[in-house]
Amino acid sequence: MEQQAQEILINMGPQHPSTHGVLRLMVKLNGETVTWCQPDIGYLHRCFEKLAESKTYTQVIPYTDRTDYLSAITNETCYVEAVEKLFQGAIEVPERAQYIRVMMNELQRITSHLLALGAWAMDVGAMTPFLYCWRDREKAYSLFEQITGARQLYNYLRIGGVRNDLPEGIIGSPSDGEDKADKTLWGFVNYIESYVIPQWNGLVTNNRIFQYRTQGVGVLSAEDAVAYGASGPVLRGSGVKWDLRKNRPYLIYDRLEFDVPVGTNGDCFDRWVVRIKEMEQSCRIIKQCLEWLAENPGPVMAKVPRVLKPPKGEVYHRIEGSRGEVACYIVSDGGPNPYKVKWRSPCFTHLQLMPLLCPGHKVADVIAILGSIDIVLGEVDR
Amino acid sequence: MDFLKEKFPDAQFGTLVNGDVEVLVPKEQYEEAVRCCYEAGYKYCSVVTAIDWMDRLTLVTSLCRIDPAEVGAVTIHIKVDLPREGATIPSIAKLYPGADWHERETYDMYGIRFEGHPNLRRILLPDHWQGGHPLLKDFVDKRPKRPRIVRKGFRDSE
Amino acid sequence: MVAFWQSLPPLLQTWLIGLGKGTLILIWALANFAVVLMLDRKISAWIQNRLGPWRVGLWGWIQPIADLFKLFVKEFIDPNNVDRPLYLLAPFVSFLPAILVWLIIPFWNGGTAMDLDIGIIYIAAITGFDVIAVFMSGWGSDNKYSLLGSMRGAAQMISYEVTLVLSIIGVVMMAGSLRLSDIVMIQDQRGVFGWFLFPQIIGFIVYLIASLAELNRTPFDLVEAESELVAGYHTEYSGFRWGFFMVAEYVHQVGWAAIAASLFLGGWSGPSIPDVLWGLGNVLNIFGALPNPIGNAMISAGDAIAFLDQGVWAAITGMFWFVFKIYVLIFLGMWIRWTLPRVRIDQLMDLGWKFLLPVSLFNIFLTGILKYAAIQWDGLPIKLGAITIRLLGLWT
Repeated sequence: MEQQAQEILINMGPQHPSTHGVLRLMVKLNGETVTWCQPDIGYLHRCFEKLAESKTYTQVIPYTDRTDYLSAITNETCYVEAVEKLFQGAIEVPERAQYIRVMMNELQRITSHLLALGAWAMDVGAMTPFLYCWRDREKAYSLFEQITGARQLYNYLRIGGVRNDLPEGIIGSPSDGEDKADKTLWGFVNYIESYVIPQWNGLVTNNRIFQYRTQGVGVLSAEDAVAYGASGPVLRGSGVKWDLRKNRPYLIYDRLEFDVPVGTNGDCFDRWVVRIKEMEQSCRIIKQCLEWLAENPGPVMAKVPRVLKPPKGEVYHRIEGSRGEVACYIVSDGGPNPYKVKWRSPCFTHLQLMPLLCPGHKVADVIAILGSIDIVLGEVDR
Repeated sequence: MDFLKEKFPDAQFGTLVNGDVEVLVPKEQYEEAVRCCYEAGYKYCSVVTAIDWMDRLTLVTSLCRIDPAEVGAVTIHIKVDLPREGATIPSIAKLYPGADWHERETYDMYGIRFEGHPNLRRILLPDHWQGGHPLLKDFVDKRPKRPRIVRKGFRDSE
Repeated sequence: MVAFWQSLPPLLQTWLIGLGKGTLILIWALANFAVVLMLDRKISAWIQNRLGPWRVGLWGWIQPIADLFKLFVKEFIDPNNVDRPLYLLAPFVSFLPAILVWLIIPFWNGGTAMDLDIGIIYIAAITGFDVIAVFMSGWGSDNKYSLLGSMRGAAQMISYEVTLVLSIIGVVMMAGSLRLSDIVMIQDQRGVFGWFLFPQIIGFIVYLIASLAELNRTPFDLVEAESELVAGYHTEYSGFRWGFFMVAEYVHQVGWAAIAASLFLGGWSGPSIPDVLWGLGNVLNIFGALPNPIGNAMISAGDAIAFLDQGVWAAITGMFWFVFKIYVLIFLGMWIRWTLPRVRIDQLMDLGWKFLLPVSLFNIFLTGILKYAAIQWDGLPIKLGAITIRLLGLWT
């Protein structure tokens, strides 16, 4: 008697308790093993690029916030720096503004990684770290609210600087402890370094069950990573030491000291550890910025004309966002509106890895791999 | 850049404002130019997109080199001029798997067909949407418009 | 009343008593369900740094009643292509074993609904129903997610049943009886340090892990892994049918905790108030070496309320300790649930068959050897001066 195994096609549909947004994953299963996986996107497409063509350069900035809404400042940085480059030196951003931008970027990187790790841990089954990440993000939100006026989507950077200087007393002093974590920046950084990261390591990273779930799962070799356009923690987890902050410095990263953590095996566990170590390095960067900012007052906004009309030209600016390489191709025709804005988002490119990584694993691993790639649908669909 | 200048002496070279190199090649030499960059070590495709000048389209392919020791890496943008209607161009998805979805998006938004692409379907818009290609400058949104609700005051009676 | 009772034929008397006991068990199980449900939400909120239900009643404590009411009035959504008999019967088949287990558990000295002398085997037999219920609901739902969940569930529960029963065999060997009330009685006689927890520590740990797997709780809750399978085998159930699955799950939890408390933690045995006073008094008097007024006062107070040590009061004390132990174990289960991530199905099977099963067999083997040694050599006495310590005394 012949035995025939039939493959079933399941649809991890746009509505799914896995927290990653409206993504549809079509998966073919043979028993519990995945034989084929294909993502289907476009459910959150909001026509960012077409909209940008009808707005002025400054009006586009809030739209860039909303692509990767979990780390909004990095998107703003990419766009604003690209436009500043179009001016070819006519706009000089004050140094203090650059340091503030770097500090905000790194704060966003920490909070974004916390959420990525929390959501991923929840998908793997440990439900408590997700709530701990919100506890810490709430503290960050209080700080952001004091600095920029908004909690998650800021509209803070401007072409030529930042909108306003840091409020009085928000920097604090290096000896601030956990109780000041939502009041001063030093308090927050100390809190993350001395309490949060050890707690995550103790609760999840060193947990045997978590290691069983993520080690050896979703192995991405270095050649595949480069060929598929991976960047950020996904690329570094596979062993390639490539960080745009070091290899193509923007803002003032060439003046700051930090390391770039790299994984060895390219599996999900390495991508987790890379993110935890990046948080530590971000703390280091923030401390250097805070030391400089405390001692160097100054203007935070350059003199720019009221209506910004960059000279004709094109620019492609790439930065190291929280999830990978965020890049912006702007074409200017000399008018007040950009002629074309192309947003290159890392998560869009990383989702192409799913058909490569998933086959051969079990259903539970599909979710673990999706969590390790860390997608934000706002960025994928724009 | 020099290797490209050797192979394609009559292509137009330019520099973008942040130091990147752009090369304008005719359509027949596109695939060869990409392969040339690949063999020179530019194995990372950052983005494939297009620009709509009102009389023509320009396809832009951005290739980079991932070399951990290099600081100040330069991106090469290979540009090809294409007609606005019925443009076709060979796909580089076999060489750069990461360009797969970028090419699909360019097809979705601009209507450029990529020959040899494994799965050329719309990606961000619904699969069989007949409304056209949105990022073209003469795109007209043919969906029915909903009436705008205009409120004059705080209460309807005002 | 009494005359009326004695006029009934004996068969009817038995039936009525049985009906009464059954009703009481049902009420007990449902009351526990409400408390454990609430406790689950509050404890998880405490662990996760939030408040839990807060609005309904004082600090949210009558939330379960609100939830049950909502479940009652919800619409029964009936999918078209389900296998009707399986789909409709599955919740009941899931609920039944949860209740049946409570029949043999001793609540106090002499307070067992049905004191079967095959107690442990009865438990092992009843557990088989869980698997059937999971499978019925998964297959009958005509839904790929449910099928996946129930496949996983059936495999998981069958694997861990074997280990579960084997981990209990050590206790049976030490007690010499399958009857649960006998097991508890023996533990009561041996005192706190003679509870089977200590000699059977391996069995206890294996039992804990296997019961977590049997109950489909994290780290083994991949049957209803929310982030992967929506809701596993009870995806297609709505309203009170789903409520039945929830009730069954929570009552099962309490049931297995009760079995653990009876087998390993001494069931209803524990000091009553006079015992506490006598104990404190003796400690303060250093067992008669240094009589002092406070110690003597305590002992006489204990004497005064010695009636609390007998009759109905003893039953209440026993039940108090029993419930206390159950809830300690439930808290432990919840603590583990909210801390650990989930294992994958193949890792789960590896753990069950390749690790826990050999360990429980080893436990049986070890218990046998130690018990034999203890009997043969009378607890292996070791003389230390004037004091004789009997090793292996625990295993006699």
